[in-house]
Amino acid sequence: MRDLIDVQRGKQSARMFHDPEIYEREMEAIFGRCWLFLTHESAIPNFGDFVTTRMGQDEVIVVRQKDGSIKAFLNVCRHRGARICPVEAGNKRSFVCNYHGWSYAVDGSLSAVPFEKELYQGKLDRETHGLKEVAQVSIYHGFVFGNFDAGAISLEDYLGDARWYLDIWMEASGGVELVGPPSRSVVHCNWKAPCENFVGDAYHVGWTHASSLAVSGSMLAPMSGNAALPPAGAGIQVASRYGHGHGILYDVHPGGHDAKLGEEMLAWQATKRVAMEEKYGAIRTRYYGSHINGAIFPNVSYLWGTNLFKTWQPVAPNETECWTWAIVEKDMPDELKRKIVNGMHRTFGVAGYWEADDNDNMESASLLTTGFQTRKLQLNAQMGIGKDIVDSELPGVLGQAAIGETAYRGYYRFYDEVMRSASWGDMDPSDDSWKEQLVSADV
Amino acid sequence: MNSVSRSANVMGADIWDGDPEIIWDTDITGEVNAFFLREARLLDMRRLREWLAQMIDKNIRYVIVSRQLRYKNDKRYDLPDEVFIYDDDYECLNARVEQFHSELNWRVNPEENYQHMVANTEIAQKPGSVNLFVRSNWFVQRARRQYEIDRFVYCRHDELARDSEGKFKVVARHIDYDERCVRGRNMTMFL
Ligand code: FES
Ligand SMILES: [Fe+2]
Repeated sequence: MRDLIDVQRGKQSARMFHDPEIYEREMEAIFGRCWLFLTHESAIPNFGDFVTTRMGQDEVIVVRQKDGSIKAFLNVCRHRGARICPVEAGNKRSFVCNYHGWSYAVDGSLSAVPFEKELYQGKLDRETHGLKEVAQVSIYHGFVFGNFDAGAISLEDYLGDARWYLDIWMEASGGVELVGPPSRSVVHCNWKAPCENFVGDAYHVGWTHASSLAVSGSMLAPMSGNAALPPAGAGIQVASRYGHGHGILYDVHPGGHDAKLGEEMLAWQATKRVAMEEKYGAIRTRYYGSHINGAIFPNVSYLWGTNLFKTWQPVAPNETECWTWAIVEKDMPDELKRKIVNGMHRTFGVAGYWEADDNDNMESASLLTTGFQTRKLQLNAQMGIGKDIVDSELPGVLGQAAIGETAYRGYYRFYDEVMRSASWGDMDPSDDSWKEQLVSADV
Repeated sequence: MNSVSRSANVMGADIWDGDPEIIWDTDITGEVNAFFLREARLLDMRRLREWLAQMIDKNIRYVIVSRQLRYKNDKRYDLPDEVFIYDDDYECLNARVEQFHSELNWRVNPEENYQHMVANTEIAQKPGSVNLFVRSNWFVQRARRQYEIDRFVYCRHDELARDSEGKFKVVARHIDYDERCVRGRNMTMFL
């Protein structure tokens, strides 16, 4: 794993999209240790409500408990390993395996075994045959995350300096809803290819999406075909300690949405901005009215403004499943919510035309690494390198323009750290040298 | 019925939940079949502007839903189970058509090729309505670049109205798309 990521020079080996050993190590070191998005609380409001999802390649059930807390379990029967729950959401008082009928309570305990007395004759230890529980579950502004590693740092610490940016839309907005169910599709790419794009690629927008921009009538339309850069100083990029990243494109909140909807969204925001500025300050209020691309390491991508929230679930080195929800502000009128949800799926859902533009790039960048010589190449994420700074007011390491690859470098810096660490014990949260690593990076 | 949000109901496709009287009048079945075959041909030949202008009503609602997997009869969980992959009006469809034909659309250069195939067509009417409600099964193949073959199979519910010249126009299309996790990359083509 040593020569995979060159943090100092902002380069990555193309092997990271292909090698099965790297993929296996990712399952262990990343998906086995990092906080992974499970669901939004609002999808499971009542006792016994559950959703099923994935953590890496493991299927899990996420269930609301009697005391209001949330637990998550592998969706796997402890008898012969059949799937416990074949649906995506619902309400259950117990989960009964289809194979031989073992039954599990909502808290994961093995509650009934057919003919237990007659057939097991006291030899079945129920205590050790409950559903395998995910070590930690934690919630941030209604977003529920799970972690397989009992030794992992808390979710709050993990989100760390990225919280200052997340809070703009998760909290200062008055709170958001995640509108499901998600759309789901398979993309024939490595899971990191879309993640790196959403963490920090404003560069591709004008070119990859040239045709979508041309017909969108959106505020970003002038970028179509690379006809124009965003005006000078039109944004920033942010890298974080644990790989999360942000890109902020000033004052163009509605992003890819069409002009009509865009105007409605801006009018809605205007009603909140004065109060927000008082409480959260002018800078964060400006970001609220900006378009934000963001990523929560390892596999959550979101766009504030275009209002998508995605997870990229690894299936194989060259296969990834994409789940897409819509973000809306809780107190928006229903009609505005509906328009945003539909507009988001129209651009970034399964039949989203922006999404289709993107996926084509991600698939080719991944599939070409089946080439032996191709895998020896280095990928370049050097845009803006040597110009990254630390600011007294804005958390994280900053790239000083809307377009650059600062957040790519931050994403892969932590990727490298977590892949090479034996445990969370090796990653000292008080160690601030990551900033220096990024700031001093140069060609 | 666990779905609280059946878009099919509001779009008239619920006629097929019952057992409506099927129209077998050969003039009408012939006309509907000719309409569908022409639509398949225009879509296959990427003549999307003609398709939109000549076959789609200005008041179209074009919907494709994907349905979250649920237990039958789960009465205690009532959050919506539908996600709208498409919920387009005429203007939205037009934006898709123009994006497709844009010189800047790298994705369809080289061109994608399609075959639309239609079968199991049945036609019914609602009491008091002159529009036709048509249920049909479709198979679409998209061939793209060197290796990409994507296949889509679905049941389509259309509502057809006659325009001032007596020609059919689609006023509502509803597709409940079965494959929950779409393996065919994207569904940017018209179904
Ligand atoms: S495998 Fe589940 S009861 Fe036997
Ligand atoms: Fe994109």
